[in-house]
Parts: sequence; C-alpha cells; structure tokens
Amino acid sequence: MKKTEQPGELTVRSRPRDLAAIRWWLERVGKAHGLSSGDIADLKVAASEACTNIIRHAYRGDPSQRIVLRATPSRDGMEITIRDFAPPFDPTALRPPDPGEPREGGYGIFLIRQLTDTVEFSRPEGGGNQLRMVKRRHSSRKRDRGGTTSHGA
Amino acid sequence: MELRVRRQEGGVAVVDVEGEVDLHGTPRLRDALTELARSANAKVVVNLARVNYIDSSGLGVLVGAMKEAGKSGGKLVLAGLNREVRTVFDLTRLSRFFDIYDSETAALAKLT
Repeated sequence: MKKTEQPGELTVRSRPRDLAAIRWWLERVGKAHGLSSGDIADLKVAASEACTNIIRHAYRGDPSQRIVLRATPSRDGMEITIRDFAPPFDPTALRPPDPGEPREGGYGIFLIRQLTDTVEFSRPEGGGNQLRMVKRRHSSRKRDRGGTTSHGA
Repeated sequence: MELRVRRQEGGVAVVDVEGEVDLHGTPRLRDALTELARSANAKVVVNLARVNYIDSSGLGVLVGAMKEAGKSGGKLVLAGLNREVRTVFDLTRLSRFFDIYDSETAALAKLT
C-alpha cells in the first residue's frame, strides 16, 4: 500500500481500490479520538463518497493523481478536509436526487450532507479543490428520518 | 467485494454479495446484475446479508438493475440488509422503491 501517512493525514492515489484504505484510516483515527461507532460510520461514508466524486468527476478516472485527507479532532467532534489537485469541480453544486424517482447517480453529495453537520467547498491557493466537512460528536442523526419499508421474516 | 450467483427452483437467481460495495467492485456487480436482469421475466434476489458497507455507486448499480429487470417483465429484490446498509437506503429514500426482505428465505417465498 503506497500511502503517505502522518498523524491526522493520509495521502492516497485516485484509485477506487484505495477507498477501502481511506475508510480503514478513518476508523483508526475516529477510535483514537473516542468517536462513537455511529459517528465513525457516518464519517467513513461521507469521506468515501467525497473521494469517489473526486476519482470519477474531478480526476475523470485518472488513477495516478493525489488525494490528501486531513483529520482534525476537537472536543466537539472531527473535521475532515479532502484536497485534490484537479481542475475546478464543486460537488456541492451537483443536483440533488429527486425523491420521487430512483436515480442511478447523484446520491454521493446527498449522503455527505445527511451524515455531517457542515460541508464547505473551497478552491485553495495553489489550485485544486477542497471539501471540508465537520461531524459533531453525538450529533442528532439525520439518518433516523428516512422512511422504511420492509417485508417478510 | 465477493460475488456469487446461485440458481434456485422456480427460475430465481440469488446473487450473494459479500464485503464492501464501493467504486472498486461495482463494475463487476453491474455486469453480473445486468446480465441477469435482462433475461425475460428475470427473478433476482440480491442477498446483501454479508455486505457491511455500500456507497452511492453500489446504490446506482442496484437501481439500474431493478429498472432493467422491470423492463424485461421481471423483478429484482433485496434481502438481508444489515443496519448500516439499511441506513444508506433509508437516507436516500431508495427503500421506498425496492422490495426489501429481511432474509433470502423471505424473498424466495415471495418470488416463487
């Protein structure tokens, strides 16, 4: 696994197979800072979705590019910034899915917004894109609002 | 992500998916499900009981396969979602569009 890791920082290539490593890293960082398993699960989904967007849309499938993740814990929770070096691509501008019609795409940024408390896009000096997301510790879960339909057993 | 297709009585195909479903594995999942869903009157159970993570690319593949099966006069249903996976379907409101069963047994009982 060719990854550069410092405390609170992880650099990966823009390869789909590295998404699992990102989730593994977040699991470790989250546990080290005492986040609940639910908060860690939410951060893993949110960060993984953000990196999926970068791989697919910002880097357009080029697996040789860099993605840099930084985790900054605080008393209230965890801030994650995700930086790429691609041409401008703002995932927060993507059209949200129509709740009345199942779609084959577009749920990534929707999930990020649902699972974190703050999502901000910026274009840092030096180029590229940065997504900053904050997950507050034990924040009330928007995830409980979803409708459920289950059958059987 | 691991993938296995089993044929059951009554012409039902059960697709066992295992592990983490993300952008790395979804091309293989798409290929497998599309082929099954395009058969006339396809009956497909996607068994997610051993899936511990699914992302939006996995959701997209399942939505596409469900639509494909519907076009061919068939049906694609989901079974065995754990809590975390179920949460992703609920958050995206996709649980309203899929037939979701607690177990493969329950899904097969409905389809056969």
